[in-house]
Amino acid sequence: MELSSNRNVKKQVVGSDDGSGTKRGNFLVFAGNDRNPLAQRVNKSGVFKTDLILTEIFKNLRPRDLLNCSLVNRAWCQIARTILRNEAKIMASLRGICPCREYHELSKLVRTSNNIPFNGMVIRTQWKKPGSDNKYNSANGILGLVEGSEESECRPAEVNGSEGSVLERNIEHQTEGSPSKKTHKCLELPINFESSAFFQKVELRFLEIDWEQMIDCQIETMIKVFLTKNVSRLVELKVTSLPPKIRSLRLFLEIPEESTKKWLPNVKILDLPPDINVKAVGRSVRRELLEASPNLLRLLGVNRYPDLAFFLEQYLTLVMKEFDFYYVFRNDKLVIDYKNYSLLNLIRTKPKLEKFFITVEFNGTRFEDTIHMLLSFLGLMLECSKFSLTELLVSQYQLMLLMFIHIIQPMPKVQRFHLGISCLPNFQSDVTLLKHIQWIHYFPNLRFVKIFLTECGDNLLPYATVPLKQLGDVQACSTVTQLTLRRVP
Amino acid sequence: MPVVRLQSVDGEVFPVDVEIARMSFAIRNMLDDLGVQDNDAEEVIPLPNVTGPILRKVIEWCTHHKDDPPPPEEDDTREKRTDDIPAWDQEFLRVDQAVLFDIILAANYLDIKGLLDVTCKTVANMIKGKTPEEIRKLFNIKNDFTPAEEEQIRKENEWCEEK
Repeated sequence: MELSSNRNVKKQVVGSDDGSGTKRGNFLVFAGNDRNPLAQRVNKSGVFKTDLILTEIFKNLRPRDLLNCSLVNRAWCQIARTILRNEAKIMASLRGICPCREYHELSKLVRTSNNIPFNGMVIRTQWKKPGSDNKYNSANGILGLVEGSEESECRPAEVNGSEGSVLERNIEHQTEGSPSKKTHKCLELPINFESSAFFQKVELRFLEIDWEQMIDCQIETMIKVFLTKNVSRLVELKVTSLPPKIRSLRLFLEIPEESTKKWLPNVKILDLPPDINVKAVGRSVRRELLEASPNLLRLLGVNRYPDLAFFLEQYLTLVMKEFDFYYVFRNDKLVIDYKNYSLLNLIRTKPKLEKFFITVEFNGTRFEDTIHMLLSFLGLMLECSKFSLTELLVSQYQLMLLMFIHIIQPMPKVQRFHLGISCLPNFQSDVTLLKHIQWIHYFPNLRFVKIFLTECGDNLLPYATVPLKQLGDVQACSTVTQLTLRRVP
Repeated sequence: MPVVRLQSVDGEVFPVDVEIARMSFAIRNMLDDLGVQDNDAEEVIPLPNVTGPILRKVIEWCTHHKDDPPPPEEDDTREKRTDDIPAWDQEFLRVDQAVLFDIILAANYLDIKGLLDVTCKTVANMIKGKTPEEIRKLFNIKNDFTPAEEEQIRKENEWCEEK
């Protein structure tokens, strides 16, 4: 009997875009003699000629390294980009105040591409100083299509400010009520997004919208095309803020009110950061998005009370992965009516949180009066999420000490931990107690720690950080690779 | 303990405990397919793609890891880590680049998942943080792009925002 290579020889073409994973254990015929003297040593063994193995290696790399690998040679490019498209989230990023022009340039680039790395798009209407971004900086930069200086074309002009180029008629839009009074000049010709190379060639699975600057731009139409024509591919949507004219996404997409159509049918992840609450669109859009996503698996964004009743009503608490428990204790004794039954009902659904932020402020009340109820609630929440939590924030180290004493159990997935250290006059505690905690027992995979210092001196700092960084200490968390200190005013 | 005899391409024969040899899914499947029992496993199994020195290294790795728990199922959501290579493996893989690559090829050929994972992670660690030119130099790879192709890819990369 012989374990023969003749049985094999399925050499998987990883470069194909079938999304199939690596099949292990193929019996490979290894590469023969290589004719390239430069690569003699490596190719002698053929590791990099074997797509399967190169794929296995690349799967251990992060996107930034894969992008570098794509520039090594053609074979590496093919495999690196296939992995990027299939397994990473790689967004084509429009991040200036001229998204329409950027899109135009991007589409031109995509038209000539044979192997596109993107699988998503992010639209950020940020105002960046010319020079802070290489797209604006290069003489042959991405915005070089427009005559005149890139700076004048791309920076937000003062109202009635700059002059137009000969290539286009400048259309200035002034956003009413915009505090920054930014204007933006759209390309004269409307872009046909649906037939543009970008939409034709890129399989868009991710979309992120952060319309930071309140400008009007025809790229709004792209959002519409994306969420109607291309929506079947969309698996993840992040919305921080929307263009000022979009008060209701449903109306913007022209979906009749009486329609029961779920217009985000395949979206598995919705990321709705809290900012959306303070921008004009607010909670109504948030709810529209949630109601439009029948197959949602993960709701990200740090969720707070205002939406909790809605989440409960819509049975969304199990997909809610991030929650900000924020409570200010006032002079009156706390009765955990907890807004009021929502939090208790939340516990009943046994949420599996990934991020849990515990922010508690004590304004003149005696800590002891309320601590038992608080610990009961936190204990139940942490019990539900002990195997899913990856990130934990506790705003008060005193509270953390009590949590360790009373409730904390090992949380094997927690990798990020944020701790606030402050010295409140009404509840002094010895920060040195922190070093007696068996961090490694409770957080065996902790890697990133941030300490926020408020209202206390640096003299306390060593006591807080020592147990987290001193490898020789039996209590130390030897898994921690990054410890960040930040002073908060 | 029953043994099987593995023969490298250069004719060297290695008696190996069956349980250790079965860490190779290729050998395991072959033994199962052929109905080879533990007590008649004195037969020689030729491995035409593995040299003696490399087979010795592979057997050394398998012997050290014979009591390891089975590797966890693939999980796409799990964060990719390469800083979790055990100290023994790090020392074991402190070898010449060509030897490392031959071990990778042997691990793939013999279908030894744990060894393939740890060796690929080792190579990934060599790549991390390096520029394309540094990677080419490290592995003696020829840049076969035309200038226009390279420029196109560079521009596309500039647009990317990875998450």
